[in-house]
Amino acid sequence: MSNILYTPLTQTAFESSGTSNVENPLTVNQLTRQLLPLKVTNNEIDSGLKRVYWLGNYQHKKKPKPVDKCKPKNQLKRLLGLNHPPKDVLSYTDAMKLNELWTSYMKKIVNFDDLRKRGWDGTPGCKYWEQFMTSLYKCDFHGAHIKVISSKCCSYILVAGVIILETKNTFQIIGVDNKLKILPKDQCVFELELEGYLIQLYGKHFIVRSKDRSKKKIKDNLMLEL
Amino acid sequence: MTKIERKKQEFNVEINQNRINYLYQLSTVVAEQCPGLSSTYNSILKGLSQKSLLRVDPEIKRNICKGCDTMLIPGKTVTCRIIKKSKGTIKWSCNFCGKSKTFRKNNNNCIWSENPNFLLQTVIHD
Repeated sequence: MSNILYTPLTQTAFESSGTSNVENPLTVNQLTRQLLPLKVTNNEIDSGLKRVYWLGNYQHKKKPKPVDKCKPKNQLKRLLGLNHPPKDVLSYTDAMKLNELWTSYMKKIVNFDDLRKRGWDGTPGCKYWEQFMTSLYKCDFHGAHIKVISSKCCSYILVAGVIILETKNTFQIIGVDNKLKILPKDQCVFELELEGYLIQLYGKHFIVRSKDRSKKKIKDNLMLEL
Repeated sequence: MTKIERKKQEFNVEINQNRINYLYQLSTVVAEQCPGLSSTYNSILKGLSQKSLLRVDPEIKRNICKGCDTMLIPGKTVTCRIIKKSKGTIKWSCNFCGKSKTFRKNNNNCIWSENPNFLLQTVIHD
């Protein structure tokens, strides 16, 4: 907008306005100075020319109402929009920082050096497999890098990403596309990487809220039919 | 020494303590970018301590908002002001829900975690 004001005008513009041809082309700012009376100051011309006029279907934004503090916590979180994660804020590089925290967290819980001495292979059904799965079942999975191996719906297969939110029935992940994807737990089998081992997780075991998972027990750690 | 030998045998010890520690770290990382996630992490932290009958340290509890469970980092998600009339008490008000908490200044009273006799020894795990 500012570039148009201070560049010289073309002669076609003078012809359309009705004025005669001028040898020295003037800018818009200088031409309004000539036409207007001397009472009008230069600052008023600049402010008048630079004003923006909204045309079309422009509506003023309504101010959001302040939320009552006295409402119960469930309603207050819903009104503030804190329940659902934002779709475009976190990128994949930000999510991988959470994955670095998660790997350091898992090394505290599981001593892999002790397990190797006892003859633990990482395959399902081997020695100490049930004890390992009961400890892993109580862990936190926010920040884990996950991959779908098999599912009833074929379009979910080979979708990978970092878990951001875990609800009762879904995992919500961020992939390489920087987009948020929602995976159902019930129909999928997931895969994890820990210390070079590949571990399979059956989604049917995880259909509880993440708070309540610390107290419940898995009955069958081994193979399941989907 | 007997306790330490037992810990090496069982590889699934102190799961809930570590999980609370991890959730607190996660919510501090995400607090500025998306406060919705940090509120969900902190609400899991509170529910987990109730289920597993563990007490949370008051320094952690002070950094969690009572209204919306977001992380309170001074200067970023909280505005901290000093009230002159009541002799220098500090008031923290949350930027999202607006709830406030006040910390009175009394040099005579302090909580047990701030007392220097609280720390017996520091142990570093490799």
